[in-house]
Amino acid sequence: MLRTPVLNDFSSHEMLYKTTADFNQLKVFGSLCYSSTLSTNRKKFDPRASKCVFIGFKRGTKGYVLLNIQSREIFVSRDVVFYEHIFPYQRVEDTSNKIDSPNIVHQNPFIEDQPILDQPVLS
Amino acid sequence: MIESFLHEVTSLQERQIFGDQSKAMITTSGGGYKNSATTYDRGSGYGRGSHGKGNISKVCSHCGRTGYTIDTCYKKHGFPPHFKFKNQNHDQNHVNAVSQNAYSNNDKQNHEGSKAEIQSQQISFTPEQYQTLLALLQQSKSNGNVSNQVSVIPSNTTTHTGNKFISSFSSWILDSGATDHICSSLTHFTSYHQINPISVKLPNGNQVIANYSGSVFINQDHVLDNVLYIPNFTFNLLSVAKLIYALSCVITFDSNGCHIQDKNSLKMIGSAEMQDRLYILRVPSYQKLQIKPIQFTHTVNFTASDLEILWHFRLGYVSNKCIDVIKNRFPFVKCSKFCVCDVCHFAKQKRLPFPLSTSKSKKCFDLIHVDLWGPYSIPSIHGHKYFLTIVDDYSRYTWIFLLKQKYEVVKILEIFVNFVQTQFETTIKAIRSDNGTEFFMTNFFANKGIIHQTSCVNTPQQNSIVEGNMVIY
Repeated sequence: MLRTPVLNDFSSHEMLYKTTADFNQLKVFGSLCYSSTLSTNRKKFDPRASKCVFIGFKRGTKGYVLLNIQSREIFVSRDVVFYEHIFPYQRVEDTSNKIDSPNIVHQNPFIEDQPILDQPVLS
Repeated sequence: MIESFLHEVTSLQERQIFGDQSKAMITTSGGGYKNSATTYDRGSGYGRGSHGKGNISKVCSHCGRTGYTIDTCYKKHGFPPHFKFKNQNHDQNHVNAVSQNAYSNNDKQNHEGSKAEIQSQQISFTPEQYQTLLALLQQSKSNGNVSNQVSVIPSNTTTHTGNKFISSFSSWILDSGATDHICSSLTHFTSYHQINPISVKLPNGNQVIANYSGSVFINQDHVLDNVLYIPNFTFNLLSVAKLIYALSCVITFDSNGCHIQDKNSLKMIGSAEMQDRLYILRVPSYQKLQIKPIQFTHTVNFTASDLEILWHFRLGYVSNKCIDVIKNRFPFVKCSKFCVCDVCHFAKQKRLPFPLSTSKSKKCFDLIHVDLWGPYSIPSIHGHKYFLTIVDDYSRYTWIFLLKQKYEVVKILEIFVNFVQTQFETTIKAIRSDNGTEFFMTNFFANKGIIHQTSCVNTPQQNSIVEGNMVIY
């Protein structure tokens, strides 16, 4: 992805595909995001978004693999609003507030073996 | 006669065994139970009005009313359960009715013995008996929430002491005779608190006091509240009546076991096994599994940035754009863009826009778009109901294949890939389709090295090229 002097200051992606890689889809892993709910499963007063954590990409699909915080579902969605500076599953000890709360359950959202692509799908 | 009284008491509070005293009393009385059964019986009619109306010739010698005789006088023999009082002032205490009932039965016995003494109301109780009766009644009245166990439990405890399910901490005996859930160990409780002492009557006449009650998980979603903690117990009891009331469930018993289901959805809540003529519900220890609410770090952040998002709330969840305008005008309004407002997303979030795609393949057959349409209500002359559309991304050349069944897609795609290889001396590099299951030919695509791209759920916009063709047809 990065340009190197070995390739005459071209990135390997550029050498292979003759285009620069598209970084627009890259987001911070584990960050908070809101995914729009599907209008087909939604009633008038149902929420229009669900609170999720971004956990990766799916090969062959232009979308994000998300973990729904409430229902613990993993799904793919395209309509996502990201807050890349907020991490719902971050350990509380790591934050600046330094609250000692051993009761807090740290659940690793990355246990699921979803195909995580290090390169977003090009369209 | 005293048995009939006992019958009343037991109907008041299910099955209660009175211990030695009552046993002694039972032996003294003989044949009284039958009388209690016939007390409410007035021949064929369900009530007084059925055949008694207008019959002036019958006069009750007990109460003086017409239409019935003393044999069927309610005032003398007690009112049947289905009887409706016309006069509301007739607030006869139930306990009194019971005693009267027992008393009148006794009278009836006398009446059967000697018909001449119809009106005699001689009490055949000895005063001591009467006193004990009253005492028992008082006792039964004071013990409002007595938990009664099934009478077989004492024998079971003797036979199964040391058995697995008694010592196992997650076995609960389904008991229709108990009025409360009872738990023997505090480890099952997720939470408990001290309560006003409740005396619980045991089958052997002893009383134990429950000082604590709490809630117990019987399932990940279902909690039982007000479970009494009695350390003396060697087993846990689930009151069937209370269970049905609390969980609004249906409990079905059969020879294999018992199923507890939700009343409306018929979802299984739990199933109890039948073991040695007892229904045992095994409950895994949910205390460890109890899901604690995750504390999100952003809530901590939220409190820190409370002031910053305050104006967002005050102004009725206005957008960042609006806040910016207000900020310019009124510098004291502070709002950070980085604050997250859940409500805004839940209430207002729209789908992201679909910008026009600028990407285009460089060569024919670098990317083909595939879509299946159908079934159409009217099949073609040859019985085709579906059609498969294949669009080349570069040239936008379109192929259409008519299909009778969906599964033919696999065959046709294989044919098409071979066709392209032979005719155009190129290979298909990527196939883009929707999430139709007929397109998931994972093995075939892997063998050919074809990338299969699918659109997201409910977004045909990502498949626009072939979907656009569909509109044309």
